[in-house]
Amino acid sequence: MKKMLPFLIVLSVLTAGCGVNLPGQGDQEDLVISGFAEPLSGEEYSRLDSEQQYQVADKLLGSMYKGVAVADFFDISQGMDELSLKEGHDFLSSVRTALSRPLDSATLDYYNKQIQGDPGAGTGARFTFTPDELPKQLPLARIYQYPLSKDLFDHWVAWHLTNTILFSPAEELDSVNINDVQKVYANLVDDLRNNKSIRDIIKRHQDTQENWRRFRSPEDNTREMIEIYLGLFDRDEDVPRASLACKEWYLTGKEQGYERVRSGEPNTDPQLVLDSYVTSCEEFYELIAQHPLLIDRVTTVLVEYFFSGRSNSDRSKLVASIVASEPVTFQDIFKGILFSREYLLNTERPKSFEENFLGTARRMAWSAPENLFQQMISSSWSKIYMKAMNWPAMSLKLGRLFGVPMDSLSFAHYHKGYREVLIMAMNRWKEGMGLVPMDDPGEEVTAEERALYKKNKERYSIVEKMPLGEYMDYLFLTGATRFPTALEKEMLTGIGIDAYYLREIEGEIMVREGFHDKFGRLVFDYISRLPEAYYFKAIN
Amino acid sequence: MKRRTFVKSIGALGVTASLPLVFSSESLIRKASAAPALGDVSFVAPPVMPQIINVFLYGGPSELAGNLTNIEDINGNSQNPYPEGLLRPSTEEGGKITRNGLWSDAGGTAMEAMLASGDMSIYRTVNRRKKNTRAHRPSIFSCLTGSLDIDNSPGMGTTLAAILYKNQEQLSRPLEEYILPFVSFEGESTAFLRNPNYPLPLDLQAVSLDRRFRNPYSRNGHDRFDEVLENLVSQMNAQSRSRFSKVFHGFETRRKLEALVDRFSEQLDDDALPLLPAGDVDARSDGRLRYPVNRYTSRIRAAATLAIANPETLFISVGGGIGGWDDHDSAIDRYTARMEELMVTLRAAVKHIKYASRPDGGSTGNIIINVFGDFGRNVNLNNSLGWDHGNNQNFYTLGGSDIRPAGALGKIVGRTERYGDSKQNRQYTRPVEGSYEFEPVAIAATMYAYFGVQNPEVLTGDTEYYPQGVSKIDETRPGEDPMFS
Repeated sequence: MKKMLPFLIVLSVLTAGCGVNLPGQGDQEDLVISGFAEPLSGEEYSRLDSEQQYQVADKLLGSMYKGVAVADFFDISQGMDELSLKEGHDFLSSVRTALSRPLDSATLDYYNKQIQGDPGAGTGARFTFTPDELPKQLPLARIYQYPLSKDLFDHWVAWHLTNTILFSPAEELDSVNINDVQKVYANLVDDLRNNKSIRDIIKRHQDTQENWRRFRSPEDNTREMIEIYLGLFDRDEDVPRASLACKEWYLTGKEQGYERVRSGEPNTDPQLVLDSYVTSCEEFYELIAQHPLLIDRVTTVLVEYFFSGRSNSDRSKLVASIVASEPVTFQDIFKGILFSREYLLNTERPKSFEENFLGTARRMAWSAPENLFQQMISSSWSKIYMKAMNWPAMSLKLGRLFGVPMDSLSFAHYHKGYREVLIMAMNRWKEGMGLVPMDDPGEEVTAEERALYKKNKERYSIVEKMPLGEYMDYLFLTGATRFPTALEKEMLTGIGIDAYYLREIEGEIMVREGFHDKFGRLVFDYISRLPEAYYFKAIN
Repeated sequence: MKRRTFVKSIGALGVTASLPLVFSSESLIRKASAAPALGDVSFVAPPVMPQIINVFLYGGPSELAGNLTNIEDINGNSQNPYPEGLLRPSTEEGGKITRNGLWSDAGGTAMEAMLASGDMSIYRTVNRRKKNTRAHRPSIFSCLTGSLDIDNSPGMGTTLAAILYKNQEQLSRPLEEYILPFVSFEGESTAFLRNPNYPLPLDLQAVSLDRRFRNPYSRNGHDRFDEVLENLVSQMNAQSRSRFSKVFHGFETRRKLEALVDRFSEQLDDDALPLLPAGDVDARSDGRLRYPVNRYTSRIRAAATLAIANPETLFISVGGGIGGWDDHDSAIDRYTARMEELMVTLRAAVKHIKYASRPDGGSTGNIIINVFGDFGRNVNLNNSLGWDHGNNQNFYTLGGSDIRPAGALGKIVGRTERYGDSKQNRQYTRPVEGSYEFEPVAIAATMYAYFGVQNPEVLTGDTEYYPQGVSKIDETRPGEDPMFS
């Protein structure tokens, strides 16, 4: 284990989402999008001030459930008043490049074994999983743990898609089981890994038993394909004809295992569907997959989520702009959205729980509990159980809503989980942020623990010397991706003095020795009560 | 806690918690152009304020539980046969058709009891003729917005709030002082869809509650800093109020509910349930009501409990776990069990409401439960042994004797016939010529009328699809004769 350490330390930096590799051979060339959805250029990014640059980075990475700690993003060694980017001005292109580059097999194997353990080598798992729910928990663990790479990106795209109307496995249905969830997700990841086209993926997916367990009769299945993939909700007259083309197929009952089977009586009469003739279900699926509306519809579904705060007119313009650029793969559309100027600078929307919780966890260098993903996905007792937030994973027949549920009950669960499991759990972030010193754990520890120690040592040496004002800047930038206002500084200083966390010496107020963490928790508690903490912010 | 104390306590809190936060009535009216034609509404405050529990069956339930009058013809033309018992009256061994043509073990027996006691009516011909669709989304949206213009209409609960707010000078006290007037037990609901161009005061926007009145609104940890931190937050909130309005609203209601919700949970105590007449089938040994235990109980019981305990809750949406009516496959057994569970729960809820006593001695006859879904279903049993999307559906409406016209309860209205090619999938029922029928949107129109809207057509109409609008249901229509004498 010892000899792998230097290599693994580099990987752990990648996990933080900051250090990114240079382009390598075989990288996918990204689609060039022009018009309203054109990308934010590196030059424009470099003109932003440091606070704005960090907010843009948070939106880009947070959308993928990642985040970068202030001390990784900036060189804070000269204090918070003299911030400079560690990555220079190439942040956007570095991230873009990283997302196109697959991990080599050894690195991928390392992370997979780190996540689930390697009984053969006698190493334990970083996370625990519920066997019956593994297909829903493991993807999120991989997204959380993989460094920025094409592998991470493909998993995140698949996770997003399987939570939309486009590919939800619909586990809530009696006819669907957890194996269907696994198949839908794994097949999507395979297709994405191989850069299959949107049309090919949808063609394949329609013609699966998993899709038939979700849409369970010829009429149900054909109607939903027309609605979901083409956005046509008013073609009821086509549905009976389409269902005749698929009449040979049916789903058996529970006792027979909900199998998709053929009756042996295929349709032989051409049916006029969507102005074309089809005779078989395969031809119908091909018709859907090749339909001119398909790319427009898929793009619309994704734009509706990521730009949920924008006007109908703006969303229409964004869809038109992306479609006009002729995206071929899902990755084209996702990257088009994520890197667009409109998204990074001009869109403000509530963060989903994954985006906020996992993104903030990374910014705070939070040490995740082993059962994190069990709690989020499957544990009804947990404060971070997403189903209680009306945000279940891969469950709903028609996928998650376009907007994050913000009704009072859903948000109450969201806030409670975010605040009490992440923000108030001081012992999980005080070392990573460098608020307290760590003892040297020695060499016989995991690479992750060793990396944490190294970071702690480096950060603590800077943080402990920060004047109070800069220390509050550090906390606010981490927790709220902005600097505090004068009022906030003044009021929180007062509260900190009353709480005995701060003291005045010779006219200067400073953090009492050993109280950086408690004052940090107080500040984070305050931030967690601000509505802005639940939003990706617009810069303009 | 006694019910009287409970109501008093939430009232005291409500006055302080329900101060207008953002909008004046002037701003509401000024921005009303994008909303339903509120300015054209003729409003006369009702003598008794209704309370509506809107139970929406997502997925679109089959009508057959409440309508087996065509089953012989249906079975004769279906691609796959129905169980033999469905073709015979329940007076025969194994038969399942009740006297009024209901499916006995799919809630039919419970429905017969509620019809006989004058607590329920069934309308069998809710039939979509305007802008017909068999797709889920437009169907759900038109039902729950009460409009055919689904992309530009707020939810029916939101429209109701706007009507009452606009006319609140006619109410006994300002609507903004009501305690929890609009509540969801299904999280975000289309029934409370907002119109971004038409804001309502915060306290008139719906709050969603847990069906067991559990309290996630409380905060653990840092209690000693709570007040000072909240003070600082409130000083910083000037911007948040508009810029981050969704979460701002979430925090405001969290603050209000933190103190309230525990008091509701006390009302769920079994000993708070009313005593029933001797020998009642739903009474436990001590004579008090016993709710069945099934997937529907908690939501429906919570809604009934809240409506009884708090007369100021005017509109409650119930759904979410009520879903799963999209029976495309293996339908018979699952649908039968589901309908049975739903109807026995509704029977208990009706008794809960009927026999409960209110602290002020007031009647609970103002509480109405409405039950319907996206649409009805085909009646052909397809090759996956399910029913695909249809049109004609039932409307089950319960309670509310103080609100409805005489003769509105205890009857079944509407006659149907099977239609469609034999042995083909698309076979469904439709109203026979001369039968009474109405559009799904009429359910919203009727609710508006209960609350004092004299011309609900201006709310259900729109400039593009149906300018004249849909009228309220005619509840004075006579009932049909029983299927069997």
